[in-house]
Amino acid sequence: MEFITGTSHNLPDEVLVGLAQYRHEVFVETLGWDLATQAGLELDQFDRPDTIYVAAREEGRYVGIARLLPTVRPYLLGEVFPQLMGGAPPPQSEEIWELSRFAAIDFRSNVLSGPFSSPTVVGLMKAVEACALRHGVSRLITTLSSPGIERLLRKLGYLAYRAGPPHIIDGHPLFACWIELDKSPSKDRK
Amino acid sequence: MRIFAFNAPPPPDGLLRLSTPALQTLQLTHLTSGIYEEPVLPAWQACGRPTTIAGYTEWIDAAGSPATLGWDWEIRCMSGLVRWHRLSLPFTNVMLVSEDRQDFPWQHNLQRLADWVDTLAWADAIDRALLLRDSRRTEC
Repeated sequence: MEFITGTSHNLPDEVLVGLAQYRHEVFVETLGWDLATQAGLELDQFDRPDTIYVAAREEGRYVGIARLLPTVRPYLLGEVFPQLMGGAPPPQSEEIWELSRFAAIDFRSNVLSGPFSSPTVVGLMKAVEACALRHGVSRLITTLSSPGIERLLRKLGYLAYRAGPPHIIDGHPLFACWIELDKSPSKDRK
Repeated sequence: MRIFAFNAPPPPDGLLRLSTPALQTLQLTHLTSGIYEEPVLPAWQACGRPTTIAGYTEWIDAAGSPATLGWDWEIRCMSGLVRWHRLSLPFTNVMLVSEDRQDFPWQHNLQRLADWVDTLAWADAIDRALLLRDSRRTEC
């Protein structure tokens, strides 16, 4: 498995298109999210020249993705879900990035295993963490729509805690979560 | 009397710091609960075997503070007995502080919160919420 990191400036067009197609397959077709799409591609206003993508690829096919945005410019939580901060203002700092569109699904895998045991998730989070730390980022803020991701972060040894109470949207709890990158209790990720 | 102010500016790290006495005054109220779906394998489809049901639950402060606590739970059914168990330490934004206002170590904080959760009658609230949800699905 290989991990690719870059922006729309330095990633090949075929990679960017492949990632948009993978996001469509994950978030629209599989998870049923109501997102604006075009020609089988999932992109939104936060896919900009400064957006950083971290992708996992296995034998040429995408099996994981994460999107990173600086919080000193518009980002998903700050623009769309500020109420998830529990009354606090959405963060704006060079040391804080937003993690979004995180997924690790291998559509060709026949292995019946839960996400907690996925080496893709572990590798993807390590790649996200390494990229963020290289840029001087010490914390991530993310919006979680599934309790599973929060459990996974804890299982992997990350110090993650909520930014505010969850809000029920379309019948499911949605909440913001902090991920400390340089204070996590375990440096040896599982 | 609450020993914190809702209108105080939030600390940079986003944690809601509470003393243990202040924690006791939270009006923890059930927000939502859900059941974790488990994969069904043929070998598991056997009548009469011990059954467990697991899920998550989310609680907030009815008094309006930004406190949030959620945890995983499990119902174990065996030999006709049904027991509810808290499965995980809480997921939260609450940091308990000592009498001299020092943060507890994070894991210690979570354990203290879990100990407090265990004093609450949370199972009944989850049971009612899940029954209500199921009855609405039946009506649709």
